[in-house]
Amino acid sequence: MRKGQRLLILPLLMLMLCGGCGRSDAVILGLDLELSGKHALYGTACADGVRLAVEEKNAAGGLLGRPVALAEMDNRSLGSEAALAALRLEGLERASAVIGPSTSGTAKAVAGSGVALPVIVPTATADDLMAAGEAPIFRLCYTDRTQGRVMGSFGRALGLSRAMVITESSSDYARGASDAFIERFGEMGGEIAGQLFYPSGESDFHPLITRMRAERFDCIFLPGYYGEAGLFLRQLRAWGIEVPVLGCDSFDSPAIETIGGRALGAIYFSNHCDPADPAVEAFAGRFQARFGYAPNAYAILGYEAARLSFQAIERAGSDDPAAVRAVLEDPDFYYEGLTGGMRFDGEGNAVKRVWINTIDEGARYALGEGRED
Amino acid sequence: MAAAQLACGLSLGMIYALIALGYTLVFGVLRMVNFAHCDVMMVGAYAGYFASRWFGWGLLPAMAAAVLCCALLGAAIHRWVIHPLERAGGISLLTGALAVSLILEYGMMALCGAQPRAFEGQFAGGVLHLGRLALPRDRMLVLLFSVAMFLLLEWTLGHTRAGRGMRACGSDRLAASLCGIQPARAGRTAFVLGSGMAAVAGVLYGGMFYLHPLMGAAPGLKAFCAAVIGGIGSIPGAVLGGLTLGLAETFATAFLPTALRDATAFLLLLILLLLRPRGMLGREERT
Repeated sequence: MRKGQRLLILPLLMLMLCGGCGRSDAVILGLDLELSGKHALYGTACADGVRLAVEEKNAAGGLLGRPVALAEMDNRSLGSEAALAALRLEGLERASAVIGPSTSGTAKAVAGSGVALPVIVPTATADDLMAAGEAPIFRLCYTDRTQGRVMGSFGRALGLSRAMVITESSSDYARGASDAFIERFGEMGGEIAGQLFYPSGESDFHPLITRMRAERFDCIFLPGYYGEAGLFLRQLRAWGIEVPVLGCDSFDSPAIETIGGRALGAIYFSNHCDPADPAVEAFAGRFQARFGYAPNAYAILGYEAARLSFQAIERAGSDDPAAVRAVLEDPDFYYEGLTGGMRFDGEGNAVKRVWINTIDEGARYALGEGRED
Repeated sequence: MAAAQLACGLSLGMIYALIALGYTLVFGVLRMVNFAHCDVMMVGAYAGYFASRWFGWGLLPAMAAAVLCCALLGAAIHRWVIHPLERAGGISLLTGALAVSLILEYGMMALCGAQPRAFEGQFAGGVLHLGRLALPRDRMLVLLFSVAMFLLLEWTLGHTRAGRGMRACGSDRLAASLCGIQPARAGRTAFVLGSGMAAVAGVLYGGMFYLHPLMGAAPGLKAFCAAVIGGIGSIPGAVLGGLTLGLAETFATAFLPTALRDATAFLLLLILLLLRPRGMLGREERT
């Protein structure tokens, strides 16, 4: 297998060396994202955010007096492809840093790929991402555990006392967030009415809802991806169950309304920014004008990841990956952007605030800052 | 709750049955597993979606447009992929169908993007209360169409010339061709008919849930299992298999740990298959 890969890589290497000649003066930023496959919606939004940041940077004179060029790799939502893409970005494309991947499974594969250049992960929230390998990962978002705990506290703050937890059985994301929610909700004196699971790709929730109807609860915690979560909401509301539904940042996609329908009812979810913040709104306007659709948190965090790497490269005064990495590892490194101010802890996790968002008649806004404690 | 779950299970089973009918029809005539079936269904869903969005058509006209579109697609697939590969035999046919499946999925993704789409409210919404029973309203439509498709298929196979030709080819190709039936034509008819049924299933499935280029994969696999459990090649078997699978899944969700749902549902089906290796209504193969 190893030998086979090397045989494959050799002609690629020659091709890339020739291909790379044309832009040797540019600062290269690598992109390792889900441009197709299961998580394409997350990856493409994130990629568009990065593209916008690069275009704006180049229009403003570039980086270190040189233009910024993107080396885009599509990891097809597969771990193996994501790891190969990161290796290629390091070895062949000579990128200063990698932005991506946008989901936890692929990000873990990159963590374990053995690359040494800084990997700026915009949106992968798995708790054990850093434990998956040695690669220097800098994560812009908070973790599943933080989200679950924040939503647990928030649920109690709303005065909710008995939660039904609905979890996708095969998703680390959903399981991590559910465990943290159950823990926090319980700590705060709430009760858990039960935890039910559904498999990935589930579309018919009626049996699950029928089972739930036999229980007594006053809220639902549903840390699901937009496809299943949208269908669950639609079918839940069709049964006339109007309890508040608490979710996580995976709710932040217009698809939740496309699939869930207009009548989502009361839903609250942890998210990365306040969509009604003027700076975020201005960004949303520029993004909409450029790409023709409204940006979600993935797009915003992609944009932020690119701007953060520009800041790190400028502060390093060089596009050498080792120098950029040293800047990011510096505990004094501070970045202020659309999602608020942030720094990295010793592990490379962002220390930043969590927002609670809601959707009301199609309008999205933040109710306030969520607290873990 | 048991009665409510029974209704849920039957209505879920009807969805599987509707898709399984197409698998079983093509298998019955061509002796091949048409892995592209669920992607033809996806194309049908998109065709119906665009018809209803662009022209404001309701369910029936949109479905008719989808059926026409998929019938043409089916004829094309048969003409350029299935028919040329028929002589090469099982594995090549299977691979050809898989290739078509991937081309349709990723072609649609390139054409329309990966973002999910949903029909504007036409079929969604509401729960119907019948005494103590409650059933989602859209399921009544599925029930209606499944029964209609089943009857249509039974009638076509039993009472039309083309249908008799298809059945003859299914049971003995050589003998059928000696009797003056053209197996190629019978195969094409089956394929076109199967694709049209996929379109009906696609519009209903897309209306109940949502559309995206890979939407066919999960129900396609389940419906394929349903067809096998019922006895692939048998039309009533497909319906029975679909209902069994729907009930097994619902039963597992309703009364067992939900984390193990698919494992328990498929364990039940495996036991069933071990008891009846050819499926519930499958017949011994005679060659």
